Amino acid sequence: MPHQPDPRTLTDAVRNGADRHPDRAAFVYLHEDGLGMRAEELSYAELDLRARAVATRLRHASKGDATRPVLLLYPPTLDFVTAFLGCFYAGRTAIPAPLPDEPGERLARVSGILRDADVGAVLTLPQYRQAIGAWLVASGEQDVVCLSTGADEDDGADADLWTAPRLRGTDTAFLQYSSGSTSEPKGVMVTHANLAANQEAIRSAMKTPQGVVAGSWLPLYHDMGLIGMTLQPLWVGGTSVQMSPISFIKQPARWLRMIHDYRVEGTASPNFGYELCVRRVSEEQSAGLDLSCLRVALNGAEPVRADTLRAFVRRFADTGLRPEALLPCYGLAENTLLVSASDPDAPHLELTVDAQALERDELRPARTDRPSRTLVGCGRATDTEVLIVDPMTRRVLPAGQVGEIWLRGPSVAAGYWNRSELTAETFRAVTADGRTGYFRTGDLGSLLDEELYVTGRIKEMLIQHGRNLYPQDIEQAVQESGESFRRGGGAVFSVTDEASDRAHVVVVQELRARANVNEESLAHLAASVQALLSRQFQLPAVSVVLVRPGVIRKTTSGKTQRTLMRRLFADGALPVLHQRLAPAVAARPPATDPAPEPTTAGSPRR
Amino acid sequence: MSIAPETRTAPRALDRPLPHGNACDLEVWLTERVAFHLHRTPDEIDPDTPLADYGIDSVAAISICGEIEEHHRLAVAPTIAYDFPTVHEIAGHLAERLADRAKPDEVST
Repeated sequence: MPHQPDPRTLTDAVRNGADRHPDRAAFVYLHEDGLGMRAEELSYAELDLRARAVATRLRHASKGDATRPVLLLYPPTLDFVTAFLGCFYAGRTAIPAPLPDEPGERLARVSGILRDADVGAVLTLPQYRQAIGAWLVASGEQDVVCLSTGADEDDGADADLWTAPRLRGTDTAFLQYSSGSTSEPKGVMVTHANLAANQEAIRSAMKTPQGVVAGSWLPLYHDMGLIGMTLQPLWVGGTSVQMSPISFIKQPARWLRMIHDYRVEGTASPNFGYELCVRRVSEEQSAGLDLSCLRVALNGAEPVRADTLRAFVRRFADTGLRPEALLPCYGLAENTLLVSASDPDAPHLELTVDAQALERDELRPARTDRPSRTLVGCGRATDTEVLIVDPMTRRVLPAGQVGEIWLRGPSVAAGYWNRSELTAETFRAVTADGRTGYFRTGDLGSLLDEELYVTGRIKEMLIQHGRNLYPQDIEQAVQESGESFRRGGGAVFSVTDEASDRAHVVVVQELRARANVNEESLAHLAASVQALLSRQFQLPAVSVVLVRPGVIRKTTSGKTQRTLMRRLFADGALPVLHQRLAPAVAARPPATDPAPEPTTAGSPRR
Repeated sequence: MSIAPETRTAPRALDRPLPHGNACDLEVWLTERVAFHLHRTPDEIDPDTPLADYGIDSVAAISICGEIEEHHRLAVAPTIAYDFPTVHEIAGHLAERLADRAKPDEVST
């Protein structure tokens, strides 16, 4: 068997940086300080020293038990980065997670991770150590070591005792808990070889120069924020500038100001971040901004909207922003991060297709006499082989047909931690013609001239008489049909009536604040939605529920939570302004439904 | 080496007058901003109705916090819209904070 050389690891990258440019800033964190922003910097030499100190303390604290992962619980700070690197320096599997500093969903989520991952140690800041120790005891995890790290704790004497770990490419570098629900977390096992492969894939797709300056407000424990915005700059000896999601949402202009101030060349955000800038950045705030330095602005992690890309380019045209800097991309934690991205030196592709053909899972040119849909291209795959596969028959589909996106390649993670059955189903899929070892994404898409178009999620798709309908298409059609309907304020899903086992489409739509809400106009609006969907989608008698703005639930990264909306509807928990239900839906008894759609680990939670 | 480059712009000067801490003026201003973030008109926002009843989400709550900081030059907790659940209560709290700041012998926050 040929010898596989061990991949370059993150430890190698940082050691190399500390050697070549010890004083260069590896990280800059912008903290809110009163009303301004205070920059905290960490050089390569400091990062290396502190990572060695953390690694030494980890080794001494947990002798003989180096196999169990290390849970990192930090607020958004540079101390997270030094602790994360410390795990690499110790050869321990790291688990990035948010600090459970508030009760509710975040605590439940971290408790779920603690149980699932068989954690051996927790790292945190000194001020949280006591509370986290008490939480560990209360969770029945008395044998878990809790260590505090930070500028005052990471001692030079410890650093001097560090010895490099022996790592293999197949060792799990970290567990990424960004998919899966709160009650059933799934830890994606990213190996050192995966990380090296994806870092190289990102570098070649983005043409990342050595010493790049990247900057973002994404959470550090989220795959896009961690792999793309934190580790990629380290990989090439560059600088990562960060701020917290809260700082950004409070004043979206801070993101653009960061790009200007630090001459950021690469950034990333889900679609909603670009929308927030268009809506909230004032002329006064954008005056004098120079964004000409920005070479790559990735848009991914949720559906990319063509109108958002256009609005952002138009709004910030006088800042020197290059339109082709906006790069739609597709990625997921199970592929470490990046699957595909548009070319940073060319405009992204948009494809306007015939809506009826799309329902039959085909991309066909739009016709003037029929409704159309605009799809945004997510570029070409990098190091990953992409297949489009019929999810039922597992037959590989030709170009131009829509099916499930399957992936194979060096960036595909090793599986889900401690879930061999689920791993076998999703990471070891076999096509009808016998090709093995594919990861099933659960996303739907199509390849055309090697360009990947992502069209939706399988579990949210509505199947009506054998036709596949995408909820977002119906939502968009409704919102474009009248001034009263709020853009982005809709959720379409199906409910099944037990009696006939038939699926019925339900449209929940928010009305704009100015909409006339007397009973007569509401009835008229509901009827107009029914007529529209009958005409445009051949959907007879959909159920229409009209609600006030704010009723549609979204994740903090802006994804509509359709499964949760279905459950609220089924439970009768929606504050209804007016509804017009199909008889079978109206007669349906309140039912409990599957667990709500998992919220992706995104920006801050309520 | 610091990478903070020379192109960095100076913090913006206080280019608008600081509003005085009149609770009524504050309430008018706040109602307008809350309405913007909740996608409603100001006349739809009742100052004594909890914002939760209008379907406030975390992005809107943090946005309102950011607007207060920006406009009044006053640092407030990101949870302000949950700590003081109505426009009336938020405005009352802000008026107190602004009045405190106006006292010469106290250090502003």
